[in-house]
Amino acid sequence: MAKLSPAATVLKGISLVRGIAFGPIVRLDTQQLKGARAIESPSAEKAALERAIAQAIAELASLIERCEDEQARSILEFQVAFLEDETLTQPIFESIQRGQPAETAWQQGINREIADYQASEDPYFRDRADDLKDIRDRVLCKLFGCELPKPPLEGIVVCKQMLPAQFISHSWGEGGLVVQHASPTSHLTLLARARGVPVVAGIEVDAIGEAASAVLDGYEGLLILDPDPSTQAYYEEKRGHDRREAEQAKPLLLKPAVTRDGEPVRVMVNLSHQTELHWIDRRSIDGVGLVRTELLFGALGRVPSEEEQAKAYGEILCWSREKPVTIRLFDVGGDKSLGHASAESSTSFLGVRGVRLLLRHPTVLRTQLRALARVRHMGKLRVMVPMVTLPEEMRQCRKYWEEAISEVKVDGEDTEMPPLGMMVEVPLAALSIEAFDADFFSIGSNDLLQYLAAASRDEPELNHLLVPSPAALNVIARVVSAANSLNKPVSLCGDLGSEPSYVPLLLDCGLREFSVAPDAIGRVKQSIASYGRKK
Amino acid sequence: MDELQDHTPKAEGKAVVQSVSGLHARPSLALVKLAKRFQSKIEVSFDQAGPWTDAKSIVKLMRLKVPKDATLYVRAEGPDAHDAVRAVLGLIEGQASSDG
Repeated sequence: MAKLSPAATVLKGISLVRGIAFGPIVRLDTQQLKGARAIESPSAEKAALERAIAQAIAELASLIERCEDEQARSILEFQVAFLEDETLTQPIFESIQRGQPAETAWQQGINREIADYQASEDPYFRDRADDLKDIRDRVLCKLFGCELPKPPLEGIVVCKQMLPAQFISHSWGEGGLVVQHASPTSHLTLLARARGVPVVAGIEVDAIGEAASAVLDGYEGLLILDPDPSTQAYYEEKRGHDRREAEQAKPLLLKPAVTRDGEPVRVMVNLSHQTELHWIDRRSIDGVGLVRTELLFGALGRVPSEEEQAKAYGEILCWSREKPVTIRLFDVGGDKSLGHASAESSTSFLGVRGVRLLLRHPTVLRTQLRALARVRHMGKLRVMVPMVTLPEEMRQCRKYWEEAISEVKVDGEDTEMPPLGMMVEVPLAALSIEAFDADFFSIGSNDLLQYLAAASRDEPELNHLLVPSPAALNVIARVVSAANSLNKPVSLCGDLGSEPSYVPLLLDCGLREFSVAPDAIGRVKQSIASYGRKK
Repeated sequence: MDELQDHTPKAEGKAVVQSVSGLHARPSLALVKLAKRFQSKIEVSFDQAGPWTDAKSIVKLMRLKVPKDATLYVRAEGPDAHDAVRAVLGLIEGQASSDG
């Protein structure tokens, strides 16, 4: 495979929709809509606004007619319904009667609604503010007789913000989108995902400067400016490879995984963000094997409240229904942070991180456990402790967990005590899991490998030491067989399990439960299906 | 209240919102569309005592920001009041997997 050139200028954002796109950079003008029109009598102003609204509705109606995506259509219909609703327009027409110009009355009236949505605590409702901005600008354009900016056909569109109808009216082809502001639950993200348009958010438009072309890596959330031929070749190859792989894995995706010998293997998914729930097919997994709670709230920049956490965990449990969900306590430190709790912690992989940090911040730990206790009746919850080194750490966590359960009452009959398990990633723990008071085990192969090899994951020059050597596989096999003889569930949730070439090695270790990256489900099942012991 | 209203059929009921994220854009729009098919005046509320919201206005319905698992009271008044309430309750309860 071609190599990624280290010389390229790379901007890091947040991946909203996965995939790869390349082409010229297209900058969309997002300046405020302005126009000059002569202000007339109130009745003429009212007529002008009525005309503009009618034209906007007609425009949306013709978009609806051409629209094949059901979700996109319903968004447009929603916008039409708003424009047709007298509850919205009546007070605006009244302001015009009192002497306000049409555009001022329109903007003030609809901005009131927008502000109301923006103030909502529920992200779903907050994001609907974009739909209202969309119709606000569409009507304003009609008033001023101008056009909404339209992106061209090819390339990577860069803008501060894009409104849903703008996205829908564009035929994206092979293109991609970079937006400065977009939320994972916005209609824009859902639409782009449905259409397979890669999207990266959180990149400052100004940082792109004068670059002419780019590669958009929607897997890692990267924008690579003016890529050299070898970078270009690397991504072309990767895109072709990903597409072939997705095509091949399709038939297996929704079926339970079995080896060639007919032995069932459980395939779960690792979650880092609620938005993943929108595109993972629930039928393709046996449950959620790892929720990285520190990433769930990464954008907050502070420790989330009990309410915020309970809401997020509840959503995942509701989505997963009868399938188990393993929620890992904040694994802060190493390469991840969470507001202030990380400010005082060392960023070293060998430092105060995971449970070491949690036990030093009992308030954070208690809040998280209480949030989990609050949602324990909503699904099959399992709670997992990261970076456990000594049995004493599990004993303390168990105490806090039991405390939270007894403090927080939930509706309905007595729900069972959700299991408390641990990550197996510190070699000391991996070699003695019998000594721990854990209901289940999950092998964190990323950390286990780096600790076994004394080679940091952050050090690119040492990547060759982080492969599953026979010694490392021995340790994994030991954990699996110890868990089996304790009759406790064991899985592996590190990146090793998402790599098809390593799957047979892990099956050889006796492992029968994997938790993998969302886009790896198909290829892992494929690898499992071709695994069979030689006779 | 005038006399006429006493003879107008009335109906009411309640249902728990099943849609994953509450009555957001798509479920609300579905409700408004359904409500508009009936002649009766149809209203919803979080509380049996009101305040009541016109179920035929998307703007008003969205202002309620109805969350999942909320109990919604529905009442209708008009010639097809009973059918209207039954249909609206069915929609509120039957949207378990709708999203968007």
